[in-house]
Amino acid sequence: MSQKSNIHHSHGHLHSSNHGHGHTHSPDASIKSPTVGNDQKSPWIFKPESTAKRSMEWDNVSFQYGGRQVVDGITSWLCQGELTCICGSNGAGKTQLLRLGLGLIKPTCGVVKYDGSMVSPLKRNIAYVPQQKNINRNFPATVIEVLIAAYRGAWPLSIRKVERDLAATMLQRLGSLNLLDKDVGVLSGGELQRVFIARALITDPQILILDEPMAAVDSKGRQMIQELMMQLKSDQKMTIALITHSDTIVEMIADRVMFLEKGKLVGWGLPSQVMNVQELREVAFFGHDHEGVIDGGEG
Amino acid sequence: MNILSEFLWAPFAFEFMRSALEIALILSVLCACLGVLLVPRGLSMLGDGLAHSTFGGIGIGLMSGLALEESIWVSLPFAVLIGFGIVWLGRHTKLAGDAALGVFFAVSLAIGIAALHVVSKRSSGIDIEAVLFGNILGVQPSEIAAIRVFGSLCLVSLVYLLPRIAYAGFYAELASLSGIRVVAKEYLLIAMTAVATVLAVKAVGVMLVSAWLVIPATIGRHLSRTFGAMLFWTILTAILGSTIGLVISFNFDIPSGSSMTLSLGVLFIVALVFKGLVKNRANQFS
Repeated sequence: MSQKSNIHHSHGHLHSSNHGHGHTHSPDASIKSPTVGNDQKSPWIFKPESTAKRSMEWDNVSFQYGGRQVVDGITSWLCQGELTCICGSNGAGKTQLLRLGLGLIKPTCGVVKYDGSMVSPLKRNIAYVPQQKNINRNFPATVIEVLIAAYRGAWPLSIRKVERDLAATMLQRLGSLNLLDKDVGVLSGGELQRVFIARALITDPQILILDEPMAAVDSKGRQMIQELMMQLKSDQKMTIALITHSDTIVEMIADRVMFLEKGKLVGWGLPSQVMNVQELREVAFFGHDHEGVIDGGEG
Repeated sequence: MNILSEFLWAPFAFEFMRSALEIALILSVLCACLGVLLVPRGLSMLGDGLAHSTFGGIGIGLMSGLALEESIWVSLPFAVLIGFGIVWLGRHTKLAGDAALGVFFAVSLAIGIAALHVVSKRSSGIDIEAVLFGNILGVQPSEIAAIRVFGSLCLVSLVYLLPRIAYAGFYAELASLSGIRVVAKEYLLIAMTAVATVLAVKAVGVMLVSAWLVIPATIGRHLSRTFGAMLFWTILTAILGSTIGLVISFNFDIPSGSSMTLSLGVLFIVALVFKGLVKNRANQFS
């Protein structure tokens, strides 16, 4: 589902999408009038149609850290089989929103649901590619071990032929087969990014969460990752959430976009609904920094 | 040839040497398996800290009226509690792990010294040297039984736990997403290290116990690119170092704890030289 043709670059036409009328030629015919939830103040929140299945849902979720409201009463969800881009300036709460979804941190209030239920995310086969790779470089690890550890859920002491072939196939998809037996500690940032995407895909996840996957990757790598995301979405119907600071990437691959600012959801909708709102673009793509970055996470 | 054969095998004609070898193999392999998990995490000095906690536990045991060989039943839970305290402080305060370790290390040692001082006034005949430097040849039957039971329990548990704890040691967050209960595993690792340390104190003493935890794993890390290879080299080094150390201890009448530690030290130097030679050779041909 290409959204590219639906994008209107109408910088400066601030409220052109506020009423949701001018952009109804999206593949998703569910565009409604702007919906402002009880806890949402922004006029640029266009909720998906109620029949859309929710793979991961934040229900009035807040998270406080160090006396700061990092995520502030967010209600939104990832629609099944869609690629949602999450945008916002540094410190807007993007990474923490996804970490809440992953169950890595607990909300101070609100709940996170998976397919409508509150079953542990561990049983949902969710894969994660963090922005900062906090690997222990003192640990003796090769790339194939990292992939097979994700596959087995335990560190491999030896690797079977079938596992080696599987790991090779995953790296091949990212054009990085040459990394298979390399030490993880000597990889460049871009190489490590590809390895982490391959390790995320090896469990064939239902939901894939990526925090700035294009960062540190060269242009050829970006192209490859973009194509891979499109392929995962169309062939495997995978639900994907992706944090990015690039409007080009959003316009190329997103089915839906969320905008966060100071921990609040300020925009949510199809690219055709929100990508031409100048305020949102300024928030996300010409952003300004906030203090209080947590755990090395950027958002 | 006969001289070499006698040098190697004659010690094991004696029952006490066969017991010593059994204890050394159980404990060194257990410490090796724990070492491969601790050393890459930067927790090399944990064994040292816990060994000194054992000293405090032994002191409390003696104060309670227990004999030295019975004090293991106090020092065991004491060391486990100290270990849990170190992990808890690391997780719930902003103290660095080694700072918490340093505090417990010093306080436990002080408890041990104070307790021994009080006890030595009441009765003489407490062999402090055996506590500090260990004596694998003088381990009592009840202690051998404890080493067999607890050592085997820890080793069997590690067969299941080792790959999971290792994964958490590489990247805790991703391990938790793979379903591993990272915090519980951390406490388990510390508990097993505390148990191994208390048992090993009987054999090599408070002062040398960290040698079994650190030196084989350091050699294993130096020689390996993968975790599986590190585990192999670490266990092999532990077995070699302990056996050679015991043989030398018997033949040259050197304290067993120090001869086993020295043997590991020599193996460390051999590993450094060997790896250096291999690297040079590889550079020559590349």
